[in-house]
Amino acid sequence: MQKFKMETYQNLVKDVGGVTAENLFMFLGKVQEAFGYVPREVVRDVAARTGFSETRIYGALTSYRDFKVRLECDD
Amino acid sequence: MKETKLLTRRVGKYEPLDLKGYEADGGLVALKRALAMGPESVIEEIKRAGLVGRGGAGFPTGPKWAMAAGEEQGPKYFICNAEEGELGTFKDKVLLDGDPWMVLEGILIAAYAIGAKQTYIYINGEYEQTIQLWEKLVVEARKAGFLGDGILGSKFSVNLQVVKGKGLYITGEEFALISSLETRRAASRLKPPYPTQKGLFGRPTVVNNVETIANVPVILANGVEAYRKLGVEGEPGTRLFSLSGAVKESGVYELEVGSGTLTEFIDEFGRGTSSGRPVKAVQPGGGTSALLARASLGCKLTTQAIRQAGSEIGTAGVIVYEEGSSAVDIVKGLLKFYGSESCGRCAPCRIGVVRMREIIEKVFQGEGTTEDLEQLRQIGKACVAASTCGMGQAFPLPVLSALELFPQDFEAVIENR
Repeated sequence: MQKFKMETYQNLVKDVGGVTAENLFMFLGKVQEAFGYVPREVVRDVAARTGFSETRIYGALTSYRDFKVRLECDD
Repeated sequence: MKETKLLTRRVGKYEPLDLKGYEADGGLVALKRALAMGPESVIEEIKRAGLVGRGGAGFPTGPKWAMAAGEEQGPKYFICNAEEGELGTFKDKVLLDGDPWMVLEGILIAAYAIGAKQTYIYINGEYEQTIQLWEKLVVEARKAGFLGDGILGSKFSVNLQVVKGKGLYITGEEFALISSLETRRAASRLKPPYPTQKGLFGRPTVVNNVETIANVPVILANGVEAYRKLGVEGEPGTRLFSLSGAVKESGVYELEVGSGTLTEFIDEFGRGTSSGRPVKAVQPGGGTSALLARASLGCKLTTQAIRQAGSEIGTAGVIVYEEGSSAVDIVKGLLKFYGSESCGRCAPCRIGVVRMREIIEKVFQGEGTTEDLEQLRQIGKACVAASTCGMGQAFPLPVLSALELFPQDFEAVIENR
């Protein structure tokens, strides 16, 4: 797990050959695995790329056990 | 009683990523044949083979493909359902890990038959290593020309996306799975329209279980006649049974349909119960199938025979409970699981499953009454009758059967309070 950086994220986008409606769910899984959560910046960016509303994406993310929308730590 | 290795024939025989090993052992014959004979003939062969779905509902595969192929509006999608979340079921993992090229070959043939360019395999998130293997497999397949444009020099192009499940039982249900891939909350939908009409992104979509898809290359490679020689009338072929619960040896066994009875299966492959006490009850088709009491275990391992005995073959996940365990415990365990897995789409399941869990916990703690049992029965029946999808229609079945078969267990807890 690594700290969220826009640059790392952009590389993930490149790896999957661009984000579309057809691969968004799989891609969000990759983001989750890379950073341990799906950061707000990512939601904004993929919303713009797919044309889905941020609400819809949050609605999905918050309904699955294995997705987190904020970083959880043991402090 | 012995195993008939048809689908699991190659499991462990070659390194999972080794395409040459697969090809040397009779692989890819079916794909080449399919590409030569054309999509309509492929669907015709699968229809003639009488293949039915192995994911639980048992819908005939050929007609399902024909429905999607007959839709005019594209693009079409094919989804291989490897969520395998049902309790007591772990057969698909054996195929995904042991003979992944065969499953991939099946996916390619299915996509070709229905005319899908984009395919998905949706794998249970707990199968971490399987997912890693499949991500590597996709890279290998692309290199070898089995994914991408112009497969094996034909005009057929297809892509496969490996999707990791995100930890919800309900995503094994076909519409919930589709919702998930659309980046929505996983929830079932009312049918019709069926996924073959309006599935993923509103397009014709076929969702098939891994074991179903693994049958396809076998049928096309060996021929329909050879395939139909196995099994019984109306249910040809073999079936992968997952055996778990109170047995000495759990595992996955491939048996010819109808080759023995449940008792024989448990005694010979499971080597009897863990403690040596007699079997009390069995769920023959995963966690949502009705319990069968010891007296009914003489039934053959076919869809028909198990249905006549009072349960369903479902996912063929055989869960064994031995004498000395209480039906109250069994029901409580099942409801604890299903109680947190309803998608919330329809009221009977959303409310019913929670109420049923509350009642059984009350009974378990010795605070129950006979009225509580009656209410459990009523809510269960309402769920079965009024739920939208297979989960709500099926999770009360083991509860209802337990109340009927082992009322003394429930009464004992109530009287001892």
